[in-house]
Amino acid sequence: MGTDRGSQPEIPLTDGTEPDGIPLLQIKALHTQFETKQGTVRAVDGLSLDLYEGEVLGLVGESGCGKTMTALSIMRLLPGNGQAVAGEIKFEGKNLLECSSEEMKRIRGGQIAMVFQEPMTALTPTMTIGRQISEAMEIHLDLSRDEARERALELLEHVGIPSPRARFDNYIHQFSGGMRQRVMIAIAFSCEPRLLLADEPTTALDVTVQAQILDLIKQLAQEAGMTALFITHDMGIVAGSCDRVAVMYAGRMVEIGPVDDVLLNPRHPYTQGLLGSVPSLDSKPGDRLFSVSGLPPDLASLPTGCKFWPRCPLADDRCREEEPMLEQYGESQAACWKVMPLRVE
Amino acid sequence: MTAEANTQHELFAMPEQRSLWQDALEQLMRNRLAIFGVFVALLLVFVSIFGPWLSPYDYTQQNLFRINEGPSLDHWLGTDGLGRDMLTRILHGARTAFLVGLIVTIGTTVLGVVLGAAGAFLGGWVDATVMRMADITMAFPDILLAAFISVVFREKVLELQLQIQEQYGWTLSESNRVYLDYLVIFGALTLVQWYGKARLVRGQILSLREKEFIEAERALGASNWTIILNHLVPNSLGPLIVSITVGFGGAMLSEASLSFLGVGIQPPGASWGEMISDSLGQWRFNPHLVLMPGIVLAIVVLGFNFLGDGLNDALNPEQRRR
Ligand SMILES: Nc1ncnc2c1ncn2[C@@H]1O[C@H](COP(=O)(O)OP(=O)(O)OP(=O)(O)O)[C@@H](O)[C@H]1O
Ligand code: SF4
Ligand SMILES: [Mg+2]
Repeated sequence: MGTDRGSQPEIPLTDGTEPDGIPLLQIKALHTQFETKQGTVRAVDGLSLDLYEGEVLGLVGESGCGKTMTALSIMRLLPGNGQAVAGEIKFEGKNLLECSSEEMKRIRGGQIAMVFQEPMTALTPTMTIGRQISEAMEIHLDLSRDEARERALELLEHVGIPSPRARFDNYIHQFSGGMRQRVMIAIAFSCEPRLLLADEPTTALDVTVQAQILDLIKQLAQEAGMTALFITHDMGIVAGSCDRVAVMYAGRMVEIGPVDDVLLNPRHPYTQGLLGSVPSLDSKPGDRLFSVSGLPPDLASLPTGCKFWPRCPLADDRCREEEPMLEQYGESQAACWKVMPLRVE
Repeated sequence: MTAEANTQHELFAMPEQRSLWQDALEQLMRNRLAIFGVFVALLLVFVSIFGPWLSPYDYTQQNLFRINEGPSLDHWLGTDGLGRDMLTRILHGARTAFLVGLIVTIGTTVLGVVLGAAGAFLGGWVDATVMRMADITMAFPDILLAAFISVVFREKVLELQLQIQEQYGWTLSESNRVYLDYLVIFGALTLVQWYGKARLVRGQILSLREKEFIEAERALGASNWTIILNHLVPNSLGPLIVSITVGFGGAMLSEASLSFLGVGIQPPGASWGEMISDSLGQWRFNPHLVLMPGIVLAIVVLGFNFLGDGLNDALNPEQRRR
């Protein structure tokens, strides 16, 4: 595998492009593949991404573009037929892909926590809420049962479960979806992890609850100075909750930058398409506005050149043959041959 | 789901942490029918162990001067057509019923768990073979198949016994021949009733493997043992325990049916089903001879079903009514 394919150009980090400091998590040219009867599915194909201490990064893209597999690669929890075949995932200087499974167990839940999409099924039906929250702390923090219980009660209260004492011995079927997600969040934050991976934490909830849950995660992450990767389909969530946003297409990154910049000046036609499906009051006349038509690509047989060309209204011969790399445009980076330099106003 | 109950006992001190099993036991104890089931089961165990010492008669002892009698002081439940004490035979029938229930349940559980788990874990042709075998077994009416197996096997087992007798000079006493009956019944019923548990176990494993909470546990850094003991087992054991309990009653009922049809326990062995068919001719004149074993059988099977239902409610938190 060409390991340097798709990696970012070496550009000094002095122009305010990216937050200062060293990245907490560094993904370098990650290739995650599935062996299937239809062939090799490239779920993540040369993705590079840095997450800086304390930032909230949104990861967006259509269904099936590899967002979840990126998160599961970090956790080393890929499904059986999947494997991270090349690349590096550095967390606090350690390459997670080379860690022993014992080390990974310590990191999972302890230093990197994950909130799943489905609160309805991500909790064990036969164990009380209280036990489930205590469990992680007993594993990672070496707390006694009593101490863990005490802290679990505090956590329940902190995530806004009314009358936590009475709720402690409940089972999940006695909780609504929003409350279950609060419990999941309590579990994720229980061991004060440094990095939070939230995989569409609000997709399964209704709109008013979504906002509450997002606020909760944001508030807790801020309090703890936590770094977070927010996976979502929803540009509204990105606008409201994230510092930077990365747009994924067919297992690779096509655009990344500060949220304001990317949402106001999307450079990649795919990002424009994603945003085009969100009605916007301040779109200026003459802006290219379209929704993405056509089907997501078959990850087992990707097109040559730019992976987006079959669906891109601007595609030409060069797009079909040569793959564009990420380039710096203003504060953001995008991978497209047709990006105009930013208008100076 | 239920947003009420928030405000209940807010004043409680520190809640104790409770396990599924504690909760289940408490729940079970609150269920009157289940308590009845527990009582029946314990009584059955007691009687089947101590039965012979509870009555002054032997279950094969005949008194031809006192046949088809009603209840009296020295024969509390009367005597049957050969003058045998009814109470003694019912007590001994309990031993038969319990043995059949126990051994057939163990047999079907072991067979079902092994085959079901093998199918789920190995997949491919193993799974296909197990499932086709289950389909075929299921396609026949249980009792017919069991009757067929028991008739065929009895001959084979008897032949084997004769051969052994000729070669080694062992002779089996009359009462030992009853244990041959047992063997045949155990085998026949196990072969007929394993598929339910195999399908159950296979389904449990397949569905649990895909459950997100198992993955969420891994994401917490839980070890494999924690996951298996705290999450996989409790979530799959509940349905299996219920199926075992109900299957216990089912096995006893099947044995009674086979014996009633004359292909189960052979005279002079005592079985409730065989007692019913024996005394059927006396139905007009001495209905108690039919009623006694019938009622006992019904109560015991019902008790096990109640217990199964109670366990089902107790082990499945979603069924709990608080
Ligand atoms: N077990 C598997 N075997 C083969 N291919 C898989 C497997 N799991 C996922 N994939 C493929 O990997 C690709 C990426 O999946 P992923 O779950 O990361 O998408 P996603 O971006 O999270 O989508 P969504 O928004 O729907 O959650 C998908 O196209 C899917 O077909
Ligand atoms: S490189 Fe070409 S095909 Fe790809 S997004 Fe840009 S314009 Fe479209
Ligand atoms: Mg996903």
